[in-house]
Amino acid sequence: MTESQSQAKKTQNSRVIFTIIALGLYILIISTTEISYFLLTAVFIFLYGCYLASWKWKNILPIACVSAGTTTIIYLIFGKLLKVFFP
Amino acid sequence: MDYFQSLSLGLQNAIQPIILLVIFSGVTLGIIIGAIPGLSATMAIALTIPMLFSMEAINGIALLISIWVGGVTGGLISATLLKIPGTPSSIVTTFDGYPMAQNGEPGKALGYGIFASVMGGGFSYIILFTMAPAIANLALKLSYFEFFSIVMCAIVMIADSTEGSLIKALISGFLGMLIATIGIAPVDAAFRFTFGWSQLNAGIPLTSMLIGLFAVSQILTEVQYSQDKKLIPPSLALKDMIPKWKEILESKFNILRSSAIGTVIGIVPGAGAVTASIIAYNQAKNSSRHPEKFGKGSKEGIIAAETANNAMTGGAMIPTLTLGIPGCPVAALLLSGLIIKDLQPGPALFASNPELVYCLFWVFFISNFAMFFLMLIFMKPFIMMLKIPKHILFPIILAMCVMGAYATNNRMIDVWVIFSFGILGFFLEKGGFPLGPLVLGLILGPIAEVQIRQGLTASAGTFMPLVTRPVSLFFLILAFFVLCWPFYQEWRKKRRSGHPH
Repeated sequence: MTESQSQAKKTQNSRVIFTIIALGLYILIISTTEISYFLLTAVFIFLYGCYLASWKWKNILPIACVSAGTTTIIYLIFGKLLKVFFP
Repeated sequence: MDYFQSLSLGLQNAIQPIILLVIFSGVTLGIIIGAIPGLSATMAIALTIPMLFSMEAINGIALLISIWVGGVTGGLISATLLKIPGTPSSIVTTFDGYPMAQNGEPGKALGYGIFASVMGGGFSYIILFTMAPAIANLALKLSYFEFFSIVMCAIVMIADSTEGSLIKALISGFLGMLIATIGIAPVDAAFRFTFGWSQLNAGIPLTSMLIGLFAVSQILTEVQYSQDKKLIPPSLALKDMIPKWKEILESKFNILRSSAIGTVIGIVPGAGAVTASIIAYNQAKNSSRHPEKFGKGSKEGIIAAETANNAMTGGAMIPTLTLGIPGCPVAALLLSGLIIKDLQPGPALFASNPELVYCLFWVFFISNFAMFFLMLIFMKPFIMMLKIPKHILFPIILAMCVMGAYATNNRMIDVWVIFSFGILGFFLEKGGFPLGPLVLGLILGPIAEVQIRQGLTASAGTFMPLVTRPVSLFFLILAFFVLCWPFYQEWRKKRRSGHPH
């Protein structure tokens, strides 16, 4: 295996590990704290999205808009209509 | 209520405005998700299941069916334009769809694919309409022991028809059955593997397990390998995408053959759309006048692959609705959707809810035509969806997984289940253990248990009816042969090559 191949494999594995840790942490914080689910979701989408986009500046604004928009939609559909009460 | 009365009642239900709206929305969502590489119809259906709790049964199941029909076909867009199959079932479409698009005919390639999809789907739904009620009538005469033998035969067939190692597929299937035993036993109410934890009394929640196995594990796989590929949208005109009558007539035997292959493969539990399209493609190549054109943009290749993978959907629904035995993982998800709505698929469903069953048949038909028109009219916007980057999609999907799991029961344990099963599914797939048999084991395990235990109660504890009843014996022998066949082939191959040991 060449050095670039082993570096690529390392990057791939680190993305999986980061995803598992980020998701686990997100669920842990939802289940153990009183912080709003919707706020946490917005933060999760933003931070995880930025990580996947390698923190490139040109991607940060779209990700911020998407995280805010998605959380608003989730709030409107599930928070109001279905009366699902998240912690 | 006779057959034609049920059919017309089903049609009346299926053409209600709300169901038509659900179908068009579902097909659109299915096409978009199917088109985006890395997302699949299975994932979309797993994520949609929690919504069923707040929907009427017919609307909810119609949504799942329409997503499936849209998703299977949507995969051809990225397969043709990017050489990346949007869904696993469109792998074979890349062989000829992409070369044809590269030869300057992307509209034609997509048009053949869409047309073949609608023909394959239509054929299999006609078979579903005609065969399913007859099979359900026969199934009503089966006893507990016969059902148990059929389920065991299905589990073995699922493992056998899954690609890769048979042993690993069997282990995966039995792991699913083992997980399904957690909770209170269905017959004698004994506590099994609950370790005194009351949250496990009802077993591990099926919906959350499915979301974990099909959505979270897929995201983990995708973040590891996938990279955004730059797409240059081709210029497409509607007239380019509509095939000429002459071209359709030239392919009539190919369409019929591939439809039949797809439908039959769909009926066999576990075989799936990929197997159907590979077999249909090879058959089309073998019987073609121009086999040399295959792999270089052959019209026949695209038609064979797309006809077969859509025909599989109707075929897979036949054992699902008539026997309660899913023909593929997506059918297993549909089955769990029916169970969520307190509808137990099987022969009794045809007697107790004929208007629902026949309505579902029509939903397949209408979804098929909705897919045809939506694909032709909105192809450009669907292509634009391929440009959505992964760093936008994946965080949203993960957040939806968490929300969907929590919304099913308002319990945090469901969220932890998607997390754990997501990781389990990821590592199982990495180790070569297919997820299809695992899910089918999860669903078929409890059915097999209930059947055999009720049978034993009825027979005063003797297993003899398993071998004394002809239908039960037939399926046990069939299961034995299906199980032994790959080992026999392996042994024969070694013997021929002169290395028996």
